[in-house]
Amino acid sequence: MPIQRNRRISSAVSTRQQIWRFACAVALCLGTATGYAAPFEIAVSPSRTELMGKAGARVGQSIQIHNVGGQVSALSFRTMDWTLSEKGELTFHDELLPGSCRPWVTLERRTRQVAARANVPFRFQIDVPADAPRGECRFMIAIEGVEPAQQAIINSGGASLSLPISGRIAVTVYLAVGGAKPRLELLRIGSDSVRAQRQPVVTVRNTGDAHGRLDGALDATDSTGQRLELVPDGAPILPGQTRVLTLSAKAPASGVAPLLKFPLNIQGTLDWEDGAFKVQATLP
Amino acid sequence: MSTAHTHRGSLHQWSCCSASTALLVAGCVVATSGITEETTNLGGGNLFTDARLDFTINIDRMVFLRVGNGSAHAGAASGSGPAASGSINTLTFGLDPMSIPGVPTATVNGNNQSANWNGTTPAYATPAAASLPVEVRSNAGQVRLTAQVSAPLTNGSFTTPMSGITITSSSNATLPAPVVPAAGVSPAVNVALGGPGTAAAPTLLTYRTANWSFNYVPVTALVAGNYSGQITFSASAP
Repeated sequence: MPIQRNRRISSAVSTRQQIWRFACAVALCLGTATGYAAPFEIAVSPSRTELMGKAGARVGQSIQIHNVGGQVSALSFRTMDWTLSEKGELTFHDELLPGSCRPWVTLERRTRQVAARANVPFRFQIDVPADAPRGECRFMIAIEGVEPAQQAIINSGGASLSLPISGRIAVTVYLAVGGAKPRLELLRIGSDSVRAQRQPVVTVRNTGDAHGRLDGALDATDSTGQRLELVPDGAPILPGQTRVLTLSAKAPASGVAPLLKFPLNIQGTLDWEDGAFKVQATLP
Repeated sequence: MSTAHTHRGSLHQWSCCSASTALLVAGCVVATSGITEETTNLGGGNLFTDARLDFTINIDRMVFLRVGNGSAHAGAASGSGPAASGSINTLTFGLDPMSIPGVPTATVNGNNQSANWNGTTPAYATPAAASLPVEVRSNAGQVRLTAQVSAPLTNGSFTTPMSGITITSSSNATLPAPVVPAAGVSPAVNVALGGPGTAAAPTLLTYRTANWSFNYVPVTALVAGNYSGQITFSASAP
């Protein structure tokens, strides 16, 4: 059973707010009783948060939630664990994974109404235990529509099927504890088949104790003399992982993705959090 | 002779986290750490003075997910005004009346309607697909989608697996639908980076829309009753 110490941070609630909340709750119940569905049209910023903390300290942060739709949206909040494989397969876990830091997390509240076309802050804090080892705490905050975004109903002579569909945005939180850092190594630059197309790729290993990402761009010239920019996939490389990341081509002026014609002459620098890789290569 | 005085102070922080369409891809634009400068030039002759304003613009990473008939966007990359939508958010699968095996013979409403039946279990016809509009926007790189099922479709003590629901996307190459699992969370599918108006940062920007068609293949021996379940679609950019 996941342990969450979700509690209200703000304590002063006026009578007017209580009346408003009661009215909203009644409206919510009525909506549920009549099969109410509101479209899920939510934007969240930032979509991921990268924080630093130390053992025994508290780290607080807020994210901004935008209800882009024209109707009031009731949202629920909770934490989830997640994993990302070396092939980039993302998996969510409601249950606590071994070593999960979710018990350290306090969410501002479990549910919240957001008015149409409004944006509101949502706060959370992480209380790092005094004996927490150096490393990276990773979890997601799931922001989910309380009401289904869509009701699918199948009716027949004898059987009917009710299938509410909900939307959710999962915000990734990274907390580097005790100075945890990535240490990236560039192992290879080459080409692979990506979605049935030959693409330049880099293979990167992370021997550090926090996630890292590639940034920057490489200059390239293809067999026709066309000048290109190769931009690395900014996906996270978790500690201990070796990942193959695609280099996406774009024309420097127009930004349009050109058709690559090998061989490619490549040079430039790829950056990461604590360093950079100088690259000079020819891909036949 | 003229004298110049300069005063520099903090500029109030301002933010523009509007939920307007135009800013969706741009995310939350916040100006911080601004410094104001106040200068005065006194004396005779031609007077002039300059004031400099330093500011930084921070564009936060954001992700936007729309599931259902929204009212937010006309769908234009330029962010042209919202299009009101009066659509009702209900998908309805119309199952044809089950037919009685043997001939087969369609059932007829009313009492004392006879039909020839050879004794095998009646079957349902496959209902027409129902459509769900979906939209994803982000400036945070690769966005992944998953489908989560908390329980099979349940009718009292009877269940039918949620994996009987299949989804096809109108734009499978750019906004594919995750596979509906029998239980738990599906493998993630990647939303293709890019889309209208995203050429400036092709490895970061995403603007994709699609209609997902839900199909249900009825189980032959489905016990009569109301089966309910829930699917949650998650977007994340880890």
